[in-house]
Amino acid sequence: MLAILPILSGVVLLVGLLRAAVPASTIQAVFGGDTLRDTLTGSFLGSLLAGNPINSYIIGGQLLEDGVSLYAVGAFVVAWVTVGMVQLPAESIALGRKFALYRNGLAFVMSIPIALTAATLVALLGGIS
Amino acid sequence: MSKSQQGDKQGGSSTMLRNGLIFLGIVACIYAVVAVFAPETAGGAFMASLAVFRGVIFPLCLVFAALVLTNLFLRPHQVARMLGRGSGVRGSALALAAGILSTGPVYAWYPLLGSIRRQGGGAAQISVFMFGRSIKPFLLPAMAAYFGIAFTIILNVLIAVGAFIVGWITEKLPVHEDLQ
Repeated sequence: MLAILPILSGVVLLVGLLRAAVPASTIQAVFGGDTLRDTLTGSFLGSLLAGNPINSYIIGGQLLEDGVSLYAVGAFVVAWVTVGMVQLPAESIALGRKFALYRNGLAFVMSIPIALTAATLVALLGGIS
Repeated sequence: MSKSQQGDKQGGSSTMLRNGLIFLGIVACIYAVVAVFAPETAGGAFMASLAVFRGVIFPLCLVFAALVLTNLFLRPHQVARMLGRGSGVRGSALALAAGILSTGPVYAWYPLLGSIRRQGGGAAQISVFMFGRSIKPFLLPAMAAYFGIAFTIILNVLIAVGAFIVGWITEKLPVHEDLQ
């Protein structure tokens, strides 16, 4: 348990740095309107950012209000928790380098069909109500 | 636990401590660079980190308690049976349930997950646990308020299915000799 403390401290400091350096307005500015590209962008941003899932809902809700598609927001929300680029060094140390790389890669890829399927099904059901 | 297993465990801990200190040193260097070029950002980042740290304390205590209990009552062969490579769908379902019920940031769970892996826990089950963590029952009302009930239900069902798929694929990849 003691051995993990430096890793935890490093990750917490990195998360704080990311929060301070990347404001929500910057996140909103990177979506262009193309479904597939926005979904990829959503997954990428979700992978990059970290924190409580409720924060991803708040940012995701704001993105929806700003006209970003549900595909992109869904990918963002899924990748927020399942992929952790900031935590990747810590995960590699704790669980193995190959494991961490493969797991995060797979989770990134998986977030895309999950978001596309969920948003498509919701659209078929009549959209968000 | 045999002497050789204890030795392996201590060796793994010292390697983790050394790598962790290197990682922390790199992060400290990044902060130093940011502090030179953008002192306000560095200050804001440090304050944000303190807020994050306060949020981590409770789950860390839970993880520490879980570590103590698993080390006291669970033997490696039991862990391997419940969550090991041969535990199959039942082990993955158990891992998914644990992931859904887990609280706090994922990095607070690394010590326990690392310990489980070293005791024979399967890569698939660890992956399922980590993917399933995005399903948070107590946050579902908030999620539904932002994205609607239909999207919330569909997305969470798909995440559960996706967790099993990620776990199944992870198991097929060369990740089993990866841990020191």
